[in-house]
Amino acid sequence: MREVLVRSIKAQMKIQEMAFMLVAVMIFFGMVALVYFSITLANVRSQAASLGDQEAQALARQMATTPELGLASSTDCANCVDMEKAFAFKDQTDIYKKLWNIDYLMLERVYPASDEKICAAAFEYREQKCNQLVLIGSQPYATKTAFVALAIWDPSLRNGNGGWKYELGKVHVSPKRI
Amino acid sequence: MSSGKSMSRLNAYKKKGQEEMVGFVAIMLVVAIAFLIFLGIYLRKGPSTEVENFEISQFLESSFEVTTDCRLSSTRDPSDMGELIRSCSANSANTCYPSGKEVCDEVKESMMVLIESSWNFNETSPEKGYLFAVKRETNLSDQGIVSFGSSTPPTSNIRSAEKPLPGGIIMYLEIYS
Repeated sequence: MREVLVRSIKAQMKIQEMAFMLVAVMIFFGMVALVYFSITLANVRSQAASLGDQEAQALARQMATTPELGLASSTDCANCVDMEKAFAFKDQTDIYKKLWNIDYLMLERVYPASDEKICAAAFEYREQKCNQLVLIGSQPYATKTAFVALAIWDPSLRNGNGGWKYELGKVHVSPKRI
Repeated sequence: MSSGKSMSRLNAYKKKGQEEMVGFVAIMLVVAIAFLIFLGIYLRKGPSTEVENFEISQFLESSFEVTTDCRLSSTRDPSDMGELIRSCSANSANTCYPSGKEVCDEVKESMMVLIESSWNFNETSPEKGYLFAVKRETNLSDQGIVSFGSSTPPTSNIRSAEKPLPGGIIMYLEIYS
C-alpha cells in the first residue's frame, strides 16, 4: 500500500513536471514568435510605406504625361509639362478633378528662382514674378510631389523663330480624399 | 514510525520536484538572455545602406533638360544641361560663349544651384548633405568628369540614383539623411 502511494506521488510529480515544462516551452516559443513577427511586420510596413510613396510620386509624374499638360512635340522632352497649355487649361479644370481623381494640382517652378507667389496670368510667370500655378483645388492635403521639367515658349530663340526653354519644376498632387 | 518515514520520503520528493522546476526555469532564463543578446547584435545598425531613390531619379531626369545660360557657340541657342555634360565629357577645355567660362565649371555651378534649390540642406532638416558626380565608366574603373558635394560627411542613410548617358557617361546623385 505504501509502495503504491509512493509510486502514485512520484507519478503525479512527473506529470506535474511535464505540464510545467510544456507550459514554459509554449510560452517561450510564443515570445520568440512574437518578436519575429513584430520585426517582420515592421519591415513589411516600411516597404508598404515606400511603395505607397512611389505610387503617389508616379501619380504626380503622370500629370506631366497627360495630353492636357504634356509637351506634344516628339522631338522635345517626353516628360515635360507644357506651361502654355497649363495656363490655357487653368480655368477649365473642374471636369478633370473627377477624371484624374485628385483634389489638388499645382505646378511650381524651382529653378530659375522667382517670387514665391501664385500666378494669375502667363505674363507674370514669364517675367518671373510668380512661381506657382494652381490648376485644381485650393487646399493641398497629403500632397505628393514629383520633379518635372517645365517648358515655356521663348520667342527669342532660334533666331527669332521661337523655341522651348526648359526649367526645373515640381508637380504637387493631392489624391482624392475618401 | 512508518508514517514518519513516508512523510519524510514525500518531503524529499517534493523538494526534488521543486529543485527540478527551479533548474528548468534557470535554463529558460539562460536561453532567453542568450536570445536577447543575439537579437541586440542582429538589430544593431549595420554598415550604411544605400537605397535607389525614385525622387532623385526624377530630379536627374528633369535637370538633364533644364536650359542653362551657356551657349556652346555664337550661332547656337543656350544649351540644356545634357548638352553641357556631353560637351564637358568630350573635352574639358570647351568653353561657353560669350562668357568664356569652362563648360565643366558651368555644369558644376548650375547643378549646384539646381540641387540646393530643390532640397534644403542643413543640420536641422531631414537632408544633411549630398554628393553629385558625372563619371565615365571605363573597363578598369570610373573616370570622374565632374564631382562636388556638401561638406557634411556621409551618414548611414543614403538615397541615391544615377542616370546613364550615351558614351558610357553616368550622372549620379546621392543625398544623406
